[in-house]
Amino acid sequence: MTGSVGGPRWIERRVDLRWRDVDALGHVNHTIYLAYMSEVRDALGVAALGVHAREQFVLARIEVDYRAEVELDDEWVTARASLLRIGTTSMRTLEEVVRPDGVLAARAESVSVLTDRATSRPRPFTAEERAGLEVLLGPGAA
Amino acid sequence: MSGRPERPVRPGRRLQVRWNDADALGHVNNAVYLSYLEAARGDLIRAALGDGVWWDCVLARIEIDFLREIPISVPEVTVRASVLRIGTSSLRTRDEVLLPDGTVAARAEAVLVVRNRDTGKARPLTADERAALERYLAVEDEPSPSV
Repeated sequence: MTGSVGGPRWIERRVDLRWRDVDALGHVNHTIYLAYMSEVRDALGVAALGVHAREQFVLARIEVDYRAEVELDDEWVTARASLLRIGTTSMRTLEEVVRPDGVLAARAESVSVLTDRATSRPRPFTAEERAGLEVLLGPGAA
Repeated sequence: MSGRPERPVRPGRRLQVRWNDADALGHVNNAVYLSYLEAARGDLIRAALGDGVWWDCVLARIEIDFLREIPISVPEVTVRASVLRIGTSSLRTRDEVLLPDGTVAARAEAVLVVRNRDTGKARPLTADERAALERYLAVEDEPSPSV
């Protein structure tokens, strides 16, 4: 889907696997997929809003479909994120974890809420922040 | 999920919050909630079907609403899970993490697929397994446990 007309505009990060990512079944534990996705969602937030995004975005909801196992021998995965929708105080993103052999290991949609850390309350995007996010919207996004 | 017979509310179990569960925001990281929820599903499946079947369960999908932050100062949380729907070779569960005051910090629905250990392929649930799972069907509007 990368680069296709009307497809998602991806922000990608390579994430190296760690020994500790693997559970007793010999594959990457399902919770770790979320850590991989956080890496690239963080990158997307920083690209749009700057480093303050790191301490202000809180994950409100995520739906994850697990498609394939990742094993230590894979050594690394590609995590990629695409902005789907910009709300008043939140954004919806698509995240994927892709193995080195190109197999999609997981796909997720998540909602991240911008919070005022002093009050832990959601706060609206400023006009400048919204403009930063709009740059990242894919051609097919809402 | 309406129309289910009345079921007793199960109390869930306590889990310690570890220092290492926190991220730079001083709260439990979102990925760690999944470990908490998994502990609840593990209790549920082991109670209903035994430890062997738990090893054969694979998580196919999960939807999580993060409703409250868990500050790292919270010493423990309560987790619980119940069965929402029993499929041919899969089941859907509702899993929750609760703060010490009974507030729901996260609520999830998960789809577990039962695999044949030798082939790695999905296998149908047996009649006995289905009957065992039915005893753990969710109560509608389950109240918070007093722990």
